[in-house]
Amino acid sequence: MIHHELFNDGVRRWVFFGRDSSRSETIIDTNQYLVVHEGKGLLLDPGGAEIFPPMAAALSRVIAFDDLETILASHQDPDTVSSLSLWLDLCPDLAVHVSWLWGAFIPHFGGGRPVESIPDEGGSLSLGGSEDLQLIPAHYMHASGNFHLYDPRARIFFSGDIGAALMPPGEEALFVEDFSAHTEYMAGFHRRWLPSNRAKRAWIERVLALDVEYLCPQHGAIFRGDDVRRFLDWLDGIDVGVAV
Amino acid sequence: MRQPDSLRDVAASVRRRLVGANLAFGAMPDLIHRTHRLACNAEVACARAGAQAAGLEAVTRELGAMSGELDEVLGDLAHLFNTAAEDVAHWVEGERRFRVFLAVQAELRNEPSLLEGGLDPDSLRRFQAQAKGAQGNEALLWRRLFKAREEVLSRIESLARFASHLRRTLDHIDLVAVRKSRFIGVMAQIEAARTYSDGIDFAPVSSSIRGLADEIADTAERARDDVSGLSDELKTVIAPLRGALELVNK
Repeated sequence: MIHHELFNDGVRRWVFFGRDSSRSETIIDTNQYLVVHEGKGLLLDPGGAEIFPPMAAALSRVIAFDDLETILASHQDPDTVSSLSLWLDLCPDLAVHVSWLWGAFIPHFGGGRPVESIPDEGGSLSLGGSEDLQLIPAHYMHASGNFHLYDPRARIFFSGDIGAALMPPGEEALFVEDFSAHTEYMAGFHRRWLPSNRAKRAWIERVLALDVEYLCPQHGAIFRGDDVRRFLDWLDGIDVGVAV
Repeated sequence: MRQPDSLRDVAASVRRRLVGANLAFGAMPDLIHRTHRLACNAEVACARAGAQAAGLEAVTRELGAMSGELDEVLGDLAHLFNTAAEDVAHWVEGERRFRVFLAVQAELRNEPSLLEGGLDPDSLRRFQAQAKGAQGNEALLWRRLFKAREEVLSRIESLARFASHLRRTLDHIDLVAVRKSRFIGVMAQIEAARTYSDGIDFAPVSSSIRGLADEIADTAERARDDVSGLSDELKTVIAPLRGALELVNK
């Protein structure tokens, strides 16, 4: 599994993990992100149990396990957080944040303790003494209780499954290079998995109000610079919830 | 020396043995119920036999006492079987965790997982050497590996205690139910013959007692096969696991 630093100002860092070459073909590829502030770590969507060994080993090259403070699960899917019990076994003091809606469901992944429930309106997430990380409501995008994370310091927006692309084998680019070509890999997912045009519009407005340099999805390539706006416009223009 | 692969196989085999023993023991309450019913029938037969039935009354009392005693011997076995099932589930989960942390360790060192064996002396020596020099995240991973192994051992030891308990219970059943019911059956036959026509109602009771004794013996024997197998399987993994952990902890 590779890791790549997206941002580092000496105090805060964003590190991408993914493109695991040892991954079984039967499981979908996922991106994991680590935010580090003053040496303390927040892991965003830590991934499934199947990828835990390469993910833990890759993370270990960046931060001490003891310094991992928090996990944010954007939603409840197995590829998002089914490794939870293994992380809790490794780092028993980890705080786990997830929408209140999934508060009683996520512990079914194991770990034997409650999680921190995020209220519908979101809020801020503290990390290493900082309070500026914002939990952005993204309900029905695609899960009914869903949160994304915005870092105004790094101008990075972690968008969970939004912006996800099912890339064909061999397409390993970290960043979107050709937006038009990339839409082909996103269209099916977004049309089928997002249930509500109204929720989609509300989310787009929320993101448009933020200053975003990188939009980081849980699957596929990262959008940067102008491609962030291109993605939002593209998303605005498609009809979702189509399987009715 | 057992390897982790076969440790997992042992867990699967132990689970099969437990299911077998549970099924065999599961038949016991019905046998107790039938013993109790026989005691009731014997009581009715005694009442019919009237004054001649002093000897039959003694048999009836013995039968009633035996059903109570059997009930007590079996105790809360269903609950203990549930605990044993939990132990096996945790064993399998602990084994999975051990393998996952082993895989993390191998990824971290960028080398194949050298501890696929895990319990043989060579692997242990390498295990020790790596753990000894480890620092930071690697040291923490070793601690989790040992913890996962200790948890597995503790579950296996708990299962071994349960197997011993089952063996003692079977010995008791053998003593209380099989031997005693056969003895009562003989007594009942003698008394029925002695009282002749007064004890005529008692004849079917005495033959049922003998039949029941045979059934209890068969059931106990079936359970004994599984319990012995269970104990043997557990013994083969406890000693090397304990030895490995002691060596590593040194």
